[in-house]
Amino acid sequence: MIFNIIKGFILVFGVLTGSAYMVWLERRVSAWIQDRIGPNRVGPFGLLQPLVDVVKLLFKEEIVPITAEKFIHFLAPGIIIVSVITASVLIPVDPNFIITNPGIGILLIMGLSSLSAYSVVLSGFASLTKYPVLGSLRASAQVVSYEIPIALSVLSVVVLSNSLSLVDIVNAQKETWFILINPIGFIVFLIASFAETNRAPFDLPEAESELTGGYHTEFSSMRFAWFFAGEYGHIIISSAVITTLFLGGYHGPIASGLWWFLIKVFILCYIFVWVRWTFPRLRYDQLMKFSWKLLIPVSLINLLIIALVKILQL
Amino acid sequence: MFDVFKSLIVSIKNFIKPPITSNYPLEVREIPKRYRGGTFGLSEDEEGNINCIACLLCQNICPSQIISITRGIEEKEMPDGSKKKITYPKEFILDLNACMKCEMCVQVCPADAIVMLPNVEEGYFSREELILDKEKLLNNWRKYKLSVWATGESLRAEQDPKRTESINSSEKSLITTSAKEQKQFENIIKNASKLKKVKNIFDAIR
Repeated sequence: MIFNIIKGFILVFGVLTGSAYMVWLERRVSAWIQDRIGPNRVGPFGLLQPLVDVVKLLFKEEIVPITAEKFIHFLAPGIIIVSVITASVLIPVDPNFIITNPGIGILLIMGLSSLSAYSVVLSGFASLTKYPVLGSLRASAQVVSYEIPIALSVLSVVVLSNSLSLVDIVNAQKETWFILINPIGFIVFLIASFAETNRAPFDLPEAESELTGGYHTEFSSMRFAWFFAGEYGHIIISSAVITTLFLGGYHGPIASGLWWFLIKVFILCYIFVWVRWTFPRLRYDQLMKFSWKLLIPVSLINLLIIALVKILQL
Repeated sequence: MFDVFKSLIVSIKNFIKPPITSNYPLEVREIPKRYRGGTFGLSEDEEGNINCIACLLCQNICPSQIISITRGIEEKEMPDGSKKKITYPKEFILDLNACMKCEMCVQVCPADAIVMLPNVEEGYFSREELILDKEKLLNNWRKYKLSVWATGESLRAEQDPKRTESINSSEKSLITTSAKEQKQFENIIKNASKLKKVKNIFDAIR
């Protein structure tokens, strides 16, 4: 019990620090992609920049708009950070570092990531000003349509591994990773998780160029920091879930363990940043069309094929 | 579909490329040769005598009328013992407040006296500091004289328009030319006659 609490603290600390350093990675990689330098003043390679950012945010004034629904406005940033931290505990990062292994692990994670969508929607309606409301309107439709392809591609993994438990799914990939058996599922999951984490090219809820900041326009100081941490934490959790479901978790060709897990998560985080700074934002109708006309049929057919293969083999 | 991967490759190529931005205070970029955003200086010769002869050309050409020179006359002993009257600027005031950096004063200066200096890292806190008198101009010259490139002579040499070659044969005889130039002239004349033929055909069609 006490060991589990300590492990939990380590994970929570890791995810929060990781999300702070995701901001650094994002700024640095975006700068390099645009032939700039990026933050390199604070510490070696600007590595202390996240620390300085957090201190800056802590000392900022907290502003709540008059139109705001005070309690929900206060609650919304909490939901996203809580859902991210809770989801982090469920992921098996190392064979000796499994905190809890519920039988429905993947369902729990999907539920928690849907919960973080509530934060986005509620923050907009709680602020009740122009841009946040528009942002959360977009978010509510987007999240609903992109949960389905995620669920369908998760189902194809569940069919392959015969289990909803994350540890069982990882152990089923000891010989062959599911990305080799189920590549379409992997691609669908990756694309849908760009939308699920509100990243470009699907960042309509917070479209900086259209809605200034979208749903978190009216948040400042530490509440904004929670949104920021939650958003980047969500990327890390998404990468970890993709690693668990498709890339074999902590299994590697040699010396399986935590290191393999961290390398895969890092590469996926890099892909998230890379994609954001390459593609322009989709229009709203394109976003909907992409989900309902392409991703959902493809993942359905993929699920069917995977199920047929599974039946015929057995 | 494949455009997606193409664009990803483009961004990864730029990711690998070294950044264009320079770390400004740490590494200073070279100022372009013909940069004319800096201040002015009054040049001196090697013995420390001021080059300006107070001809007032710069004062007269300046579009913003910011240069005002008071001319002084002094007698100077020449090396052969004779005495000669020369003019020099008693006062030389250049008001940088209104300067538009057109470089005209430098271009007309016959003595290479007034020059533009390539300084970028200077700022001032009052308008008075921008009014340059003779002392300040001389100090500017002493500070930056090694980096001066554009003087009156060099600019005139560069901007001198190239002489156009004449087609007229009567003019041609007046100019003594080399064999190579002669050939060029002939070619030009041939082309001209060809053009004339074409023009005649067009006229006929009309």
